[in-house]
Amino acid sequence: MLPLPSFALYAPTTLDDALALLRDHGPDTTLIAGGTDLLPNMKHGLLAPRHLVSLAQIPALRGVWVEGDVLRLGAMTNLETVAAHEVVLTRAAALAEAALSVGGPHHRRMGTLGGNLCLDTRCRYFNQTYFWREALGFCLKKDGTKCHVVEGGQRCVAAASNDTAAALLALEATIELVGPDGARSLPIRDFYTADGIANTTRAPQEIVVAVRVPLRPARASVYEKLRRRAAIDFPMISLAARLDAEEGRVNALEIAVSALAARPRMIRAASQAQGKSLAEVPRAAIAEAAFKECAPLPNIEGDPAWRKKLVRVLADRALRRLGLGPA
Amino acid sequence: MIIGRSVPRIDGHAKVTGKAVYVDDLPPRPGELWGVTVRSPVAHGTLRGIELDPAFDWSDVTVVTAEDLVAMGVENLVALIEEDQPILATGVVRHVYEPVALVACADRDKAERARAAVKLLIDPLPAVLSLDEGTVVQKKYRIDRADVDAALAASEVVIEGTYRVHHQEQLYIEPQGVVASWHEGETPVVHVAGSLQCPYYVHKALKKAFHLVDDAAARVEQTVTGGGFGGKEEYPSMIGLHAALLARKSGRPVRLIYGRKEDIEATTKRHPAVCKVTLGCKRDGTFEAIKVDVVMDGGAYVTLTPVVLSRGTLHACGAYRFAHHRVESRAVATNTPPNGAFRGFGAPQTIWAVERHVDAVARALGRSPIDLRRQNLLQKGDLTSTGQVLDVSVGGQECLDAATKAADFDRRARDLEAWNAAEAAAGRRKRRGLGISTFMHGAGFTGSGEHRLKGKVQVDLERGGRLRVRSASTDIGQGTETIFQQIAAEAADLAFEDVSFENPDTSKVPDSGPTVASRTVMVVGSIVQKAAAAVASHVRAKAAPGESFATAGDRLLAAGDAETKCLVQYVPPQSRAFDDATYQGDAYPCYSWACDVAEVEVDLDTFETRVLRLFTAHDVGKAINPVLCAGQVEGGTLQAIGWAIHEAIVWRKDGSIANARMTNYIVPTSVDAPEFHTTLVEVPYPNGPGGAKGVGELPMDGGAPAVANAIEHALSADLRWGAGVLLPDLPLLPENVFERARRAEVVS
Amino acid sequence: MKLQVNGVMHEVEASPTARLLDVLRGPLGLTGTKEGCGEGECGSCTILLDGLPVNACLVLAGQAEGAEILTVEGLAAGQLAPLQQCFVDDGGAQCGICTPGMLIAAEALLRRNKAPDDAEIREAIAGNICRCTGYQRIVDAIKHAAVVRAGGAS
Repeated sequence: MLPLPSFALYAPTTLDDALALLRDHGPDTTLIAGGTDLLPNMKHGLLAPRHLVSLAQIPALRGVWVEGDVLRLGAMTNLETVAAHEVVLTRAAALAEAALSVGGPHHRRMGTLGGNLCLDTRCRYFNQTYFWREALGFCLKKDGTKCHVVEGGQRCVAAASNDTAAALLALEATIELVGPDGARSLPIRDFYTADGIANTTRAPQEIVVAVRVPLRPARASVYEKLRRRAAIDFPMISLAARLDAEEGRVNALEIAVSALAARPRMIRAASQAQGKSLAEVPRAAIAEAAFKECAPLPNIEGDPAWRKKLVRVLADRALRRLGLGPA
Repeated sequence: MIIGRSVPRIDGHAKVTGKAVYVDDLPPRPGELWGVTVRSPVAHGTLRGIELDPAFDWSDVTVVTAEDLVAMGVENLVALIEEDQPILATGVVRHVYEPVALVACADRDKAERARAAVKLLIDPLPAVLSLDEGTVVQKKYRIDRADVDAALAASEVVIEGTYRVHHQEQLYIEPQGVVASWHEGETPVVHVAGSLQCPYYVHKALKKAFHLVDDAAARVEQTVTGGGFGGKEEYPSMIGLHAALLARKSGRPVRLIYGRKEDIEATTKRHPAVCKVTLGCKRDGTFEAIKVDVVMDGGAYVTLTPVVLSRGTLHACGAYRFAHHRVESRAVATNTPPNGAFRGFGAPQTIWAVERHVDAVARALGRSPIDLRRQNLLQKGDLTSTGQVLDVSVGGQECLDAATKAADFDRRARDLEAWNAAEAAAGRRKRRGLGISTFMHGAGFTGSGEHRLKGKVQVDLERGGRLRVRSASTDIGQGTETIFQQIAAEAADLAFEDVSFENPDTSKVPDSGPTVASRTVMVVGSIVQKAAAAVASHVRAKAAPGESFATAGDRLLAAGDAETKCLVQYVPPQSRAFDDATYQGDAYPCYSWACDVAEVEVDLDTFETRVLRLFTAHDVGKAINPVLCAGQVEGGTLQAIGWAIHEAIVWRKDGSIANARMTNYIVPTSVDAPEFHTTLVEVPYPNGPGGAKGVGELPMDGGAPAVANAIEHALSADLRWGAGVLLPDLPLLPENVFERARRAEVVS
Repeated sequence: MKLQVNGVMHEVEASPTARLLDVLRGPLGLTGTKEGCGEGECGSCTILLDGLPVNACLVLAGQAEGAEILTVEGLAAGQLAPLQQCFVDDGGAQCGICTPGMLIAAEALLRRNKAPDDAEIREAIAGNICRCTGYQRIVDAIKHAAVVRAGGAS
C-alpha cells in the first residue's frame, strides 16, 4: 500500500568504501542507518534518492566504549542498546532516558543513535503526500518558496524531532564525522543549524561516526518529553538538563529544549544557577525564563500555546529531579 | 450447554498461524490491474473538466470518469437511503477527497503516477465546513411526550448545558479493499470480494448501478475482515462499485486497496454533534422533564445519516426516568466527507451530552453522581422517551450495582482523595479521580426496521449429521462464526464441531440483513436457533428406532428430503408499533444496559490524563461466549477512551485533513490502555437465543463520560469552576483540559 | 537473493531494495505478515530479524540477507505453540489483523523474559496497535503463555 520508489542499495563494510560510494554517486545519494524515519519519508515522496548507502554492515560504527573519562558511542548503535547501557544509565542518564523514549520498542531496535541525531525535521505541512503539498502550494522545506507555518517566513522552521539531540546538547557531547577530507570533530551545539531544510552542518558526503560524551564526576542529567501517548510518538516538546555540582553548589547547569523549530535551543537563564547552593537555585524563575525564551510554532501536533506552557512545566520538573531549588 | 461456554473461536487457528486470507492476501489473478482513485482537492466547486496529461503514456491505463458511466449505461449512484451520492462526481464536487475519476494499470507504480497525471479543472465555490455553519437540513426528528414546557416551568430546579463531540475515525487496522471482476456473456456477472460488513449492501449497490435484474448477476463475498466498527458498513459499496467499473471497462480483474492515508481521508467517520440539554427536577433530585436539541454534521452526502441521527435522538434522554420528554434533532450538510456508521451509531454523541448533564445536575444539587443516577435510573415498568414500556430485560440497576461493587466505589473514591491530599502536601502534581456513567443501548434495528428488513437464515443438513449455517452476518472480529455455531449446536443438540458456518457470499447465503446495530446475536442468532432446531428435529423425527442422527441424516439427504434445509425469516416479537411520524412506540425490542467506572490520573501541570483502571458491568442478557463477549466490551470501551482523550481529526481551512496518518491520528497503545475489570450481567431477554441481546455498540457509549467525570473528580480539590461541568466538550486532549482549567479558579 | 525464513533458506527473485514485507508477502507467499500502515506505526508487520522484533515495512530485503527471519508462519511446529493457543483460548485475537505482529512481539519478549509482569508485557507490545481487544486479553494471553512455556498448567 505504501510502496517505495526505486533506488539502488549499497551495503559497504568499511567507512572508506562508504565514503567512496558517497563520492562516486554524487548528490543523489543518501545514507541509511536504521531507516525507521527515512523509509516512511521516501514512501511519502518527501525524498527520492537514487542511491542509498547503508551503514549497517560497518562494524566500526557499532559499539559503546569507555575511553578514560569519555563515553564513546558508535553512530550505528541501536537506541535500545544505548538506553540499556550501564554507563549511559549511570553517568549520562539524560541520554538513556531520551533513547528509551524514541518511538516504540521495534523502532528502538532498528533505529540508531546516529540516525536519530540526523533525523529529518518534521512539519505538519511537509510530512504530507506530494499531491497535498502541491495542492497547498509547495513550501520552503521542499520544492517551494513559501512557509505555511510562519506567514511570509523566509526560513524553514520545521521542527527538530530527535529525542537524543536535546540530551546530548545538555551533556556537551562531541560529534565525530569523517568525510572526503578526513575526520573532524565538533561540539554538538555547532552541529545543528536553524535551517529546517537541512538542520545539521554535516556535509552531504560526510558520515557521523560516533558521539563522545564527557564523563564528569558529580554530574547528573535528566530528560523530559511531552508526547500524546506513552509510546511511539515524536516529541511535542523535549527538554534535557544537566547539572555539575561541587560541594553542594552548582558549577554548571545547562538546559536544552527541542521540538520547537529546526535548531534545539539552549536556555540562557540556566546560568542563573551558577554558584548557588542546590536549594537556592531559583527553579521557578529559570523555568519561567525558559518559558519566555521558547516559542513553539504551529509546525507540529499540539496547540503551540499549550506546548509553550509545557516548556515551563518540563523545565521545572527537570530541575526538581536534579534536586535544584526549594523542595 | 454450549451456550454460555467460552469455546475457542473457530477462526482463531487460522488467525494465529497467518493462514487467514484477508483481501490483500488473495493471490493476484492473471491480468489483474491495480486500481486507484482520483479525488477532489477542493471542498466545494464546479467541476469543469478532467484532463489527461498528453505527455503521459496512457496506452496500458484504464481511466473511468462519470462520462464513461453514461457511455456504459451505468447509473451514477451509490444506492443507500437517499439517491444523492454519485459514484464519481459530475458537475459539482461537494467535499475534499470526493472520487472524480478511476485509474487502473497492471503496473502499480504506474497507476500511482497516472493518478497524478489526471488533472481536475475545478472552480472553487464557498464551502461549509462545520455544523455551526450548516443550513441545509438532511433530516430531522422530533419526540414530544407529555408536556415538557409546563413541566420545566413548574420544576424546582432547571439546569441547562451545551455539549459538543467531534469526529472519530474507525481506524480498523486492515484498510478498506476489494478485488472485482466482470464476466461478460449472455448474462454478465460482476464479482466483488473484499473486506466488508454487509455483503448485501454492496450487492444492492451493484445491482442498482449496473441495472442488474437477476440476483445472481452480482456476487459479493466477504474475505476475512480486519475490523470494521461500522466503517465497513456502507463504504464498501463505493469501493466495490469503483473496482467493478474498472473491471468492466478494462475487462480485467481489478484490485483496489486503500492506503492508510486515503482510508482516513476519504472514508466515513463518526458524526460530530452539538447537544443542548435542559433538565428539570425536584430539589430531592427526582428527574421530571428533559429537553434536548441535537445537531449533527452529516457531511456532504446523506449516506446513513438519517439512521444515525435517529439512534442519537432515541438515546438522547439517557438511561433515566422522566415523565416529560422532548428531543428535537437535525442533521445538516457540510462540505466534508460524509459521516457514517461507527459503533454506537449516534448514541455515543447524545449519551455524552446527557451523561455530562447528569453530572452537572449532581453538582448543582450537591449530590454524588452515583446516587443521583441510582435514584433516576430506568427500572422495569418505566417508560422511555418514546413511551415504550420497559417490560423485559431491564438490567441498569444490576449493572450500576455490579460496577460500583467491583470498583468498591465509595472506598476507592475516599482512598483517591486521601492520595491526592498526600500528593498535594508533598508538592507533587498528580491527581487521581473516579468517574461513572450509566447507559443503555437499543438492540437491533430501530422501530419497524426489522419488519422491513425480513432477515433470513438458512440451515442445511450435510452428510455425516452435520449442519451448516448460512447467513449474511459477517464475522469482523466479534466472533459471529463461533457464536452462530454455538447457538446452532445448542438448538440442534449436536456437538459444536458438528456445525459449520458458510462464508458470507451472496451466491451461497440468504440475506440475513446487515451486520450492524447490535442485531447479529439477538436477531439473526434467534433465527439461526430456530432453523437449526427445525432441521435437527426433522431428522430425529424421521430416524428409525436406534438409527443415529448422522445415518438418518445421510438417508434423508440421499432421498432428497426437502426439510433437510430450513430457511427462517425473522419475525419481530409482538410490540407496540413504532410510529415514524410521532416517534412514539416501541423503538427497540429491548435494551442492553451498562455502567462504567473509570479511575484516572491527571497531571496538574500538563493536564495529561491516564486511565488507570476501568470497571465495567454490561447487561447482555446472556453471554453466549463470555470471553468473546468481554472482548467486545473491553475493545469498545477502549475506543470510547481513545475518542475521549487521544483521537482528533485535524481539519485544515480548506476542508482537508492534516493528520491522516497513524503517526498523528493516534489511537491508544497497550501502555495507554487501562486495566479492565469486566463483569457480564445477565438479565435474560426471552426472545434472544439463550436470553442474549446485543453487545456490539453498547461499550462505545459510556467510556468518554465516565473518564470526563473522573477527571473532574481528580481536579476537584485543586480547581473551582462555575455552574455545570468543567469539561462539556470532546476531545479531552490535554491542551483542551488545560484551556478549561485555565478559566477555572485555582484553589490549592 | 537468499533469505533465511522460518529455518528454511529461500532463493527468491527480488530486488534488495524492495521492502522485506513485500518480499515475504509476494515471492515467498508468506501473507501472514500484514500491512496496516506502511510506515512503522501499527506493528502489524512485526517479524523477528535475528531474534529481535522489527517492522518489516521498514526493512529493505537487502538488509535482511544473512539474517535469520521468523514470521508468524514459523511459530507453530505441527500443532499450535502455547503462545498461539493462549491467544485463541483467552480472546487475544479478534479481527486478527494485528495478531501475527502481536504474536511475534510477544514471542520476542518471552524469549528474553520468561515471566514478564503486566507492565513489561504492555511495554513489549507498545509498538503493536490493536483496535479490537482493548489489550487486556492480549496481556492475559501472553502471561498465560509464559506459564505454559515454563511447564506450568495450561
